[in-house]
Amino acid sequence: MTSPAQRPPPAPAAARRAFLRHSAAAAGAALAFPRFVPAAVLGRGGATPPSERITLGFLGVGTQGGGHLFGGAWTYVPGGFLGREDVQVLAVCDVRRARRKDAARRVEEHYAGRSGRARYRGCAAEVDFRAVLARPEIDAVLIATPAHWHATMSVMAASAGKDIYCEKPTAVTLQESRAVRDAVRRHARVYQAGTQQRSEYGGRFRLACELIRSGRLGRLREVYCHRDGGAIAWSSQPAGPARPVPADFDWDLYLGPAPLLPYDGNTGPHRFDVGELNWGQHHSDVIQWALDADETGPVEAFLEDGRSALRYASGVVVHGRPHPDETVGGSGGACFVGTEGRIAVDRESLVSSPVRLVREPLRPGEVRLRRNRGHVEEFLDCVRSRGRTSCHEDVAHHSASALLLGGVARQLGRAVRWDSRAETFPDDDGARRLMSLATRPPWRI
Amino acid sequence: MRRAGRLSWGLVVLGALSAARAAGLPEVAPGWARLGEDRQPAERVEACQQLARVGGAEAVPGLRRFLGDPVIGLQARHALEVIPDPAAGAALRAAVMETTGEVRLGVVASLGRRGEVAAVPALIRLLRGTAGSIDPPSRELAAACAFALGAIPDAGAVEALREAWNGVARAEVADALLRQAHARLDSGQTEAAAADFAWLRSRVRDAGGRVAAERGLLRAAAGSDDHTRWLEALVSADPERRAAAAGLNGEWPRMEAAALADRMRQLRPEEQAARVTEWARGDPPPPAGLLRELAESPHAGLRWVALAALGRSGDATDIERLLARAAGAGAEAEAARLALTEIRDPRADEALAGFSRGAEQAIRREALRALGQRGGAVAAAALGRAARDPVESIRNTAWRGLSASGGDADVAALVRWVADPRGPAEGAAAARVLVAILERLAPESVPAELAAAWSAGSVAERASLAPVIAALPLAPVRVWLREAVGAADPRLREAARRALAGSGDPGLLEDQLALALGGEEEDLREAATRAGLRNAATAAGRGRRSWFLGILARAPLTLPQKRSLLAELGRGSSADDLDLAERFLADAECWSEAVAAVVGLAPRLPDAAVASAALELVLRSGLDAEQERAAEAARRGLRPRP
Repeated sequence: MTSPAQRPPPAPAAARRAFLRHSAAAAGAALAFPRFVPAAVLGRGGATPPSERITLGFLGVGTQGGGHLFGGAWTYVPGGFLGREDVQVLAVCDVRRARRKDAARRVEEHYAGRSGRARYRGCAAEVDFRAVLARPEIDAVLIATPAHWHATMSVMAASAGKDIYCEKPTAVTLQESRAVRDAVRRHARVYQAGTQQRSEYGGRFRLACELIRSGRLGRLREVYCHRDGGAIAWSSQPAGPARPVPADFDWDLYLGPAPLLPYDGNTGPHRFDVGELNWGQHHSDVIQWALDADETGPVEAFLEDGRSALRYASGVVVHGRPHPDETVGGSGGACFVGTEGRIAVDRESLVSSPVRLVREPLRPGEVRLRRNRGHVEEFLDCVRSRGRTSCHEDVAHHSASALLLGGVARQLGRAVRWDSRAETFPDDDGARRLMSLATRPPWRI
Repeated sequence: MRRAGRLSWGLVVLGALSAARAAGLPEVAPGWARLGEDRQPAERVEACQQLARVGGAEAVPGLRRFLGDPVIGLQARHALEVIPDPAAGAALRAAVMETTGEVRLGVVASLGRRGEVAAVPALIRLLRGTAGSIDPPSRELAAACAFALGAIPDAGAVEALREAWNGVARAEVADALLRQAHARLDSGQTEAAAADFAWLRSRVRDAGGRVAAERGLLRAAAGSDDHTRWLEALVSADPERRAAAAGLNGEWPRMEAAALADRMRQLRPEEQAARVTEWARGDPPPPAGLLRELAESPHAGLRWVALAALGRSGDATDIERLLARAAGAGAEAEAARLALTEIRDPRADEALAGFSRGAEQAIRREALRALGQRGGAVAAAALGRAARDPVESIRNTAWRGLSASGGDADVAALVRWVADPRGPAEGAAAARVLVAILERLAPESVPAELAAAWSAGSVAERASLAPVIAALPLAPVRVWLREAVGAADPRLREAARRALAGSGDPGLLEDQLALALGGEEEDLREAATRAGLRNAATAAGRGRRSWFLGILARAPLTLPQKRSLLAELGRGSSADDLDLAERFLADAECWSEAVAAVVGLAPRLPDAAVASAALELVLRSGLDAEQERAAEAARRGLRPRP
């Protein structure tokens, strides 16, 4: 605790804002580290022997990937994968040199500390993810790259025999989504989508889905999803004036399957997003779960006041906007409305109107959904047992498809019908043409 | 040359425009007109994208012309890929032999995605390296051809892929053959698919590939009623076969439960756990006998899964076993508790009620807890009886159970219990339970028994009932409570003020603010502050949150009040919250709490730059190590959440 004498002078909002103005140009210095030679022998003092550890490669170590790797403010994995005794991180990959080198250094320092050695070298820092996929000793990869890469990397990882934990959105076109599902199946891989709400947040989402599927709402009529549909659209021009590509940044690999553009400084993970592609799959995943639609999906996507909406075979309509009278649902959730009231859930809250709907415990005979020890734990368990995760390839495919269908309706500006068995738009050539995107060779999916 | 090219392009455009008009496609014409090199790149790309959406046969010649264009070649190729007219396929087939480099790689992939059967001979020639021009180098081209041939359902493609097995693109060829085999399986060609998988399994060298081929074989066998192959693979000594069989439970049409149960014992514990997890999702669930056996496993993960699954499969005979496990601690106890709640056997309630009267206190408590979760008449009777048990922990468990299970039918009895308890402790406990039940039931009007008891009750009875009415967010009881707060009788007045201070009714926010700022007793002021903050943060009170917090922050407060306020500000997400929290950074008495509030709310601020500046200032203000870590973590989190 800081003593009163050490306490700072008042910091009113005005001072903070003045500071803000002056710090706008501040930037962190890039650090360069030598390339490390892989060497994977740890496991002392009763720790999990190396032979039983799951070996991982991290594709993308920015905010998302770095959070998974090291833990952090947003993550649901305390200490990250690095803090786990049953995991050994053998490689990190990023198109930013400073970022990958820094991540590799932190991994190696951590392992050195854990093994009581002065030095440890065994985490490669790669710019090209194909170098990670080519290493047979790596069991699984965690994909946390820009969204337009997710599906291509997933398919290539599956083909290379890797198990996969992939951030959302798991695909950015319907064709990609199907390709991921098929590749994971074809190669008998374990896949977990980063839609962790089925596992985390105190079971709040699971309970909401159990209550809804147990009929607490009577007949479910509509769902307020909070998010619009999503899609990707390749930019037809740079976001700003062309600039030289920074020496420590691989612009070509950043773009990957996207069309080649002059470097413009926009290197965000969602630069090609249309609509709510970033968060949308969290919401659609929960809705699919609540609707018991993990093996199917909507039958129609249409527009309501410029935002997308979905209709399911049961007649339930999912609106791509918040409920007008309900604030809960914004962080990954939804508001479900039935004949007996409504239930709203997000990462912070589970509420209902009337309140008894969620306060009444589940009774014998009511629906119980799959439980696990945690989203990451379940993935690692399944890597060992070869079982299926909660958000396996089929679940992810249908959740992503629900989101992307809204994106197709948005792009067309009209309603589209969807056959979830045949996975096509019946008698709708215009919509079918939006199931894929132009893909820059040599990338293909 | 350039001029000649422009001239020919102009002719193409003119021809296409007239063709488009003839075809009744006026929307296509603008796209055509904007494809040429004399237009801006963005306009050309958009024109290509428009043609990809609506173009037909008339668009094909122009698009083909631009396949090698550095600006729009990619989009032109995609347009040809998605235009359903056969002319687009023909154009790509022609282009595949005329193009080179990455353009050719793209054309090859597009042919695969179109499923162009007519392209198979050309693709085979390229794959074999017997075509005239092998550019790009054979590795890339062979990989692209393998991808395309894997996507086109054609026997000749399969044959060519097999021939290319020892070529330069083994991995892509293996993937393509797997695709072909799965496509055959999906189209009902089971025997052909099985032959494909067997061919692959005999040749693939890497373990992952063998597992994939073996799983394909198992899928091919799934169509028959004979599950021997799958069961054998599941318990095979060969880890690859076991891996291939794993994860298929969900897809298996109808499992032979007895046979699987028999094989389960040959699996490793973690494999058994995975199988049970999958199986428990299906219908019928795993047999109870197997689960009872697995619940005794030395492997903790397996015990957890088996115990949880007993909820669906077990019956009243499992109650004793589950109670013994539930009386412990940790994940296994949680699994047993879940199962106790879930067991559907109607005799289970009676069995639990019997155990609730037993000798061992831990078992009694678990039985009461389960009854509370299960609800119903048997549970209500058992819980009511236990609520007057001499043992305090049993009484408390019973009260909690009544809170969870009590319904409309129990309100009258509990009102009487509150108004006329055996002692103050029982009255308080009954009041807490009644409050919990009423909060859960959320009646739209005051229950008749409660209204009658309040209107006809003595001062002592009203004082006992004050916490109950304060919990009902209904207009009539707010009037009663306000009257009681101003009552002449000090006992009723005191009870009403304490009830008000703890009420969860957002409709009493103004009353709570008055009590928080003007109450005479510090503990009442602090309780009213805490309750008011809770109510202001609820959905019902949210509209007045800023108002409540703003007034509170500017008033003279006790230290506990400041701490409560700062804790709520730390859960906030607005710039107003930040401003209020920052006011307290100058207050030596609660500086640490103010720092924690700023650190807590900063990552949720809509403006990351404002949040970053606030954290920078806090970080430079002499934090201790723990505070600094928290502030740094918050700063790292100043990005879009996952």
